[in-house]
Amino acid sequence: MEKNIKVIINELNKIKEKSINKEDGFSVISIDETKEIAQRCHLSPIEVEIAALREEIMPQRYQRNYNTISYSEQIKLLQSRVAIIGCGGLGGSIVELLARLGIGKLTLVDGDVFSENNLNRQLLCSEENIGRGKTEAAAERIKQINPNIRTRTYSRFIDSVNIHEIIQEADLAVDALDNVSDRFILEEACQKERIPFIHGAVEGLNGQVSTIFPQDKGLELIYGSSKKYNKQKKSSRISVLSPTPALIASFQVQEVIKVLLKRGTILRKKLLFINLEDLDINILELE
Amino acid sequence: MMIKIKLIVPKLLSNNQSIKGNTHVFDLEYEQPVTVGQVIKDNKINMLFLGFILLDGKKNVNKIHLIEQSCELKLFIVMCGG
Repeated sequence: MEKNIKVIINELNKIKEKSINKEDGFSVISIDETKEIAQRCHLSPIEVEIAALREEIMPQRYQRNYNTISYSEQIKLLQSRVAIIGCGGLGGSIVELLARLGIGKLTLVDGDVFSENNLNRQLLCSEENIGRGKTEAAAERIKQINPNIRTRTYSRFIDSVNIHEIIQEADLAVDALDNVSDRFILEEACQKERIPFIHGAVEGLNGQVSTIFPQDKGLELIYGSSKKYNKQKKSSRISVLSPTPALIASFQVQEVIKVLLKRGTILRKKLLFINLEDLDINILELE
Repeated sequence: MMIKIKLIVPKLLSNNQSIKGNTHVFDLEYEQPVTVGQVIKDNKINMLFLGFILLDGKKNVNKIHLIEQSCELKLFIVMCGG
């Protein structure tokens, strides 16, 4: 292992010398170079990327993250696991954004398959995908963006028993569910596993986001008592237009970054409520 | 003294689905103090999707809150979709 580390550092130093930009002192490593070193040193490409970041060499795929995200923060993201609960409207966009951001481990959960009425808003849904499992499509999309990301898929709906296994080892969970009763199941599990979760929900041209920590009251303050909500059949009249999940998913991913990197202002004990049609944005205090 | 209430209702909560736009604004007048619940009832708000009730853009209030002076009440829908 020690020999391996020496070999990697030696290889990385060669890359650093070769790729350094004389003006700003910035060094990068390409996908091919990463793969080559990984193969030679019997490591995963993510391990090579982490080693490179430690030497202040930026993997090119994350080059445009730099300055907003530091080397050590990019390492933190690569070492993190995020569980995305629901891979539909919100979840599809969240998967795409987290994969591009460089979250190293993603857990994908959804028991549903794509149907025609998903085409208007769900990023991962295409005519070719109708009838296909949502988690399968999500895993495939991640592979296209970054095959080095380690994915774990659960092609089933959550319940109060399986949710604990699903979120195990996750640093945080993202709520991309489509009903309130499952959201309460997720919240209870996150409280037990002591991890935060990022709540998001959409309706028409309205959307909301909140970050809920295990010790917070959270959903009760948003929805009232959990007893009010049964797992209802979805009404065919409920509408969601394509900009709404895309926008709310972006806010949720931004919360993921801030929570994982412990920076910025998070929406804790607050609910961001956006009405896109009237450009009416409210941050409601949850107390 | 008249109590003037500006009630802002998202279309989904309004019984008048023919209105244009996402929200409907009612300018109401009451001769005496009235509860939020009564205002909601008088304006036939769809309770099924009613979430937060924001008073003067700041405070969340519930249906038993008594309105004693002119104010703005803004209703929010409960959002479930993902």
